[in-house]
Amino acid sequence: MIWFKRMNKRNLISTVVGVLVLTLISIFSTKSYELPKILNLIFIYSISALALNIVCGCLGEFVLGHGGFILIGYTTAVILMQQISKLFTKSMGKVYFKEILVYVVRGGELHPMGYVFIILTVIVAALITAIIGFVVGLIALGRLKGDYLAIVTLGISLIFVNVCKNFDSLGGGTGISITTTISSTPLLNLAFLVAILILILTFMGSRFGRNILACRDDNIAAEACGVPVNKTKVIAFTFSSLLAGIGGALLAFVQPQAPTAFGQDMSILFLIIIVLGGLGSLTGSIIAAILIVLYENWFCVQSWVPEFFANNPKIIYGIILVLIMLFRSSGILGKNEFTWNWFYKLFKKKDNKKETLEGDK
Amino acid sequence: MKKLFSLLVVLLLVCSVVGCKEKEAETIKLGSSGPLSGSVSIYGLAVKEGVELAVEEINAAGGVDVDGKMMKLELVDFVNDEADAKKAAAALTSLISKDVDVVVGAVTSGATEGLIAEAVKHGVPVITPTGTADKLTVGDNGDERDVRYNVFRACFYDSYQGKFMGQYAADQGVKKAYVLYNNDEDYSKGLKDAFVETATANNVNVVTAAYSKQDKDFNAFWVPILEGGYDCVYVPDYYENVYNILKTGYAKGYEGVCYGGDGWDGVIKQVKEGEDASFLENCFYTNHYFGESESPAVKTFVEKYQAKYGSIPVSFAALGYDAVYIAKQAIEACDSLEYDAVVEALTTGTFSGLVTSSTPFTFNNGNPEKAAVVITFKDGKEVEAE
Amino acid sequence: MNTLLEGLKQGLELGSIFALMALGYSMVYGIVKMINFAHSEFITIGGFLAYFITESLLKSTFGNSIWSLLIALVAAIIVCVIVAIITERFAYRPLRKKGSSRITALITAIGVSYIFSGIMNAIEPEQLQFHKFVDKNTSFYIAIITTAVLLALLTFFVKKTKIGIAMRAVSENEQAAKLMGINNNFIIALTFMIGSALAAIGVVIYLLDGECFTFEIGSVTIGLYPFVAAVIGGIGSLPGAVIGGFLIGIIRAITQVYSNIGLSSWVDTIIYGIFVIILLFKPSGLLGKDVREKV
Repeated sequence: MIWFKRMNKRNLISTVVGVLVLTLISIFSTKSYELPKILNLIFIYSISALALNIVCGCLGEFVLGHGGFILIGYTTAVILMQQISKLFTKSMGKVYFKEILVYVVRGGELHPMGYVFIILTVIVAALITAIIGFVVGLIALGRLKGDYLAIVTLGISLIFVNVCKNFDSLGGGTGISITTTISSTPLLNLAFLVAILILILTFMGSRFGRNILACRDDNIAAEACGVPVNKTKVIAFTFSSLLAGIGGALLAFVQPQAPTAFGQDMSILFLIIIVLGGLGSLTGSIIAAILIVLYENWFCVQSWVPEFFANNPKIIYGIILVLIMLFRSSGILGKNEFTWNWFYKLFKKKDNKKETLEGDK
Repeated sequence: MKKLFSLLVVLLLVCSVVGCKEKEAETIKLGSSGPLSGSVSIYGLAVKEGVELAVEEINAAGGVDVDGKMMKLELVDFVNDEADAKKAAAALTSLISKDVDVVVGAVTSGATEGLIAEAVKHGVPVITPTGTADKLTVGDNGDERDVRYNVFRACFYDSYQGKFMGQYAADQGVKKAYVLYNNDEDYSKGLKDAFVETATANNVNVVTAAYSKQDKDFNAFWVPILEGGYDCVYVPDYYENVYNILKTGYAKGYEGVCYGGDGWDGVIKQVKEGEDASFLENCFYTNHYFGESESPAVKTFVEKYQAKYGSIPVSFAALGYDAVYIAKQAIEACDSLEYDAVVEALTTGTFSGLVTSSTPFTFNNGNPEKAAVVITFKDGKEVEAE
Repeated sequence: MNTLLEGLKQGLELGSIFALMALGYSMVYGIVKMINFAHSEFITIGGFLAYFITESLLKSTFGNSIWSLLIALVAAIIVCVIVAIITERFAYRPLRKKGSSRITALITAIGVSYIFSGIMNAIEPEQLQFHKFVDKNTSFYIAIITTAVLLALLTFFVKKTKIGIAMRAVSENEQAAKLMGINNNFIIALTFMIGSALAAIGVVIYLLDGECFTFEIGSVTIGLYPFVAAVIGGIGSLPGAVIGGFLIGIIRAITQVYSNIGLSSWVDTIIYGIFVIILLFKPSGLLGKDVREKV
């Protein structure tokens, strides 16, 4: 819990207050039509981006197959939920089952049992993704590095997509979904995000975390100092795929998606997010995720926005990417973390001014 | 203080997204979604034209009679979803925030599935003009009708036309059939499964082969067909690929027949000026209606459409047109704009006078009970087959 | 047997087109150590340009003659080269000057490819069909011969000429090359130019027999395959890229001619599976050189 001690009190309190405000927004957002979806996506994209950031930012290895692991999380969650659904329909009768699970915006709310089911499903899906991630990491990380690792992970993720595409029960052409049966709430996703942030901070503060950072800064020096480089890499990769699995599983309760949507484009999207936020900066990833989600789901659908933006997101992304890389290649936050200091500075300056004014009098 | 104030403004802005729905019963608001750009844009544009024509026509005739009050129809938005599920889902939320009373959309099956995932939460009546996948109205395993209670379609569904074509092939005396389907489209897979099931049951020998969205060159795919001597190839896909496949196949010397589904509508427009279209003459496909048929409903629709847009409407335009009329009849039947009342009226009502169905029909699990027509080509034009 | 032969033939044709495109990836990676994701968009640009020029030439006095094709080809090459120079000059060179990390370079390349792909989409989202200049049989010979000739020329160029030697020097050690008086920026720009010219030639040969294509021809239809080919063959190695191209092309065509037994839906799994296995056992590709990391 090193991070906890390192954080200054003011920042800690502000963060807690911020989370509380978000919680309140999440709870009351269900009254709106668009807000829950946007919040859900923000939280889920943040989780998935954080997962990628562990490998790319903290470990310094370059992975282009993130979408594949999110796909595994998504598919496992859908299949598990379908099985749970079948089981309950059989034993309890359909009507009762629907009462427990269906979450309807108008009037209804997610039943407490629904929360339990979602959390269980997500955990199992994440574990399965982690196991697959461990195997992939074991095979690929020991032998390859740099661009080659990136390409191999991309290839592996495309194999996952191809397999899911070929079996109708795993997705098929347009994908499988459960969102008509059960869908999660922003509150739940926020809870997952906070839990994962705490988990990551704890993990990165531990011995493994420091090993990971040592590997990033210098592989050979780290090895010379007795850091088990390969083992560390595999652990980081497995941890990352565990989180990616959580992201994918949560996504399954928010929106239906076809397997092909998890291919190259999604992997690149998350790469864009973490680079935009700053490699190695956890809060940077979250900020970038917020920006991307707001751009896609809020900005583009506004009636006052020219259709050009909605129809050609690729041009906009491309221009933003190139400009950021050319003029601020470290991203929004660089390697720093977001703090509330600017917030207090705003008021501090004011106070100073007041004091001087008063002094003048 | 200024900074605090600006913060408050930002908070207010955030809260303003959390708007409440207030119904102003001035007009009946229709919302729609479909691909207006991208590879299947021809469908979205056709549906849009059909919907706009119907709205114009109904308004010119006075509007919709809701409990004795004549109300005008208003198409508040036709969102471009580029046939993408994610965008269609976003389209629905944006339509809901514009207080739509009925959603006419989406156009392609994949996008409609995305739209429905959101729509069931709001309960808004959804009439998809052209979403043909079976699962849209009843779910993946066919047992979700009580969840998707507000989803209806104006067209027949995939397994119906697949089975229809399978039966048709057997009736035509086909012995060895080959199915070339698109692995990336559930539309294609759905038709394939239904065709294979019916054809096999009728003692037709069927072999299937898959291609994916990245395949544009079909030369190699025709090799096993020509080697195996098949007398029928079933190609359930959308028109761009269909044109490619048929052209390649007949150029390579295939002499049998080709069958297809309603995704073929528009394939004739792919044939370029001065190009020999005779390769299409051995091809047959199922469609929702035939634009040059003699029935009076079709004739008046085609005339009006031609007067407005100057071309013969494809079936997608007719279905878009019909979807609006179905909505109108449902609203008039229940004299209300409440979501549940309209859904109830759609579930129980009988609908008549439509372009794509010569007989009145009711909805069974959200699917209309109507027949398909088989269309073939002659001299570069579409004609109805016997 | 006939099926297999047909598959091999189509595979060789597709393979030689992949090979031409793979050469571009391979040379650029060899010299700047960057995966040029924008290469696939050079392919698209080449295809689009050739299409629009042939369409307008067909109506002119040139008509359906070989001249329309040649003019279109040359124009496509020139435009692709210009696009490559602009990309290199304004997107990649500033990064090199700053000495940015590899991930930065890669993200920039992705950004550039997004921009081009978006523009192509905005220009023409519908499916296009290239004019049918030759039949399938002729285009097979054209593809094979062009690839063989270009490979020979390139090998000669890289091995024997002064600029080619400078190119190899830059790829070996940039700093040392600079000290030897080589103009690095010129050499790198030249590599990009050659790569994009090869992409343009490749795509025109691909389209030549009346192929249908969309704005996704570079990013989806041809997609990552040339790149995979370059990596399998060993990045930086010219014959390696060609071998990789043939390998991928033949696998793809074979799965297609045996689509009746269900091979075609597994094409991605097969190709990427082979790719991953090759890289695991020979991390630098079939003909690539092993580089040891030093302190």
